[in-house]
Amino acid sequence: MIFRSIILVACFTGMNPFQVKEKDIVSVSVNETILTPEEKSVAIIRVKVKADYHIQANNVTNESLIPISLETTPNRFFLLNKPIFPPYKFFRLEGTEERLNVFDSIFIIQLPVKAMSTTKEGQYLIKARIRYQACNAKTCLFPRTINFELPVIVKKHKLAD
Amino acid sequence: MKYSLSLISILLIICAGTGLYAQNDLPMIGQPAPSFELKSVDGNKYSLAQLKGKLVMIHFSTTWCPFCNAEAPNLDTLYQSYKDKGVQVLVIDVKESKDLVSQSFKRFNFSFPVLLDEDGKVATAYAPAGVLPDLARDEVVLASNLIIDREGKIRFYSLLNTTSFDAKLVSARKKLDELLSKQ
Repeated sequence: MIFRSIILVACFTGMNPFQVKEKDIVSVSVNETILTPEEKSVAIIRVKVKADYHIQANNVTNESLIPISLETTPNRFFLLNKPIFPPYKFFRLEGTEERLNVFDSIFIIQLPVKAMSTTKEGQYLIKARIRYQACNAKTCLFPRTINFELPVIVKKHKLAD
Repeated sequence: MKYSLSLISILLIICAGTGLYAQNDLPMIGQPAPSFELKSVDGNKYSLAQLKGKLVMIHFSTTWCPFCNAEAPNLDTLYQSYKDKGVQVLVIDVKESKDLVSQSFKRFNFSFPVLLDEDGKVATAYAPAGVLPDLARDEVVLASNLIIDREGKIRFYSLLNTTSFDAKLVSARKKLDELLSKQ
């Protein structure tokens, strides 16, 4: 009875009794990348932006804006090239001529990876971080960084198709 | 039953101070504006107390905020229109360094002071209770505009609303005109 009262009052006043404290606006999921020494491959990074938010794209229209960036910690086992971002969307700033290049929902970043000739068989983790700046309809948030690891498996021989 | 009614009453009081603000476009209206003393990018100290007797318009900003940047030229135009009528415009930059702010805002050539709230305490003090409760309090006020009257009370509070973004500050001008007409 008391619990029901709390729910009723909370709903009546616009509070969400089950509201979860927000942590990250962006979440990242990655699959294992499997390659052989000297083979080039692409690590797939799946980025999910929380509903109703957008983040600035990698190409911004104004140098003061903070574009999404993917950085990796250099390591001696792999050669990592520049990340490849998908095409961005446009977000028009109401009442102005300006429009922003943004990402929202789910998108994929590709990171070209090549194992060095000296890299031995085994499992590796490449440290990576994404920095982003998000806005929704009500506010713009301070830039945030999300740290994650890219799992890479190096095999001695090419896998049979 | 008696216990349940008491509980409901207590909850209603608590929620009135939080949840209902979330539905109010203009929070904190009529409340005394939290006092502050901040340094500007040019090194001068500014306090709200020293501006008593003027209408003060405050815009909370950061260098990377797209909505703040879109408003910036219009903010200076507004100041030029109203400065001789006893209106002071202030930008309060939240949690950024003096060097970054000074460099980034050069392009706007603001004719009013840009103050530095480097630890975000002033932004936190101005965050209306119950609005965007899942965010850090110093994030809530970014890109918002306030007008404080000559007695130091908040008379206008416009939080960012991108779906009806008022880049040209039409609502703020309307409120300033209304407050000035009451002189």
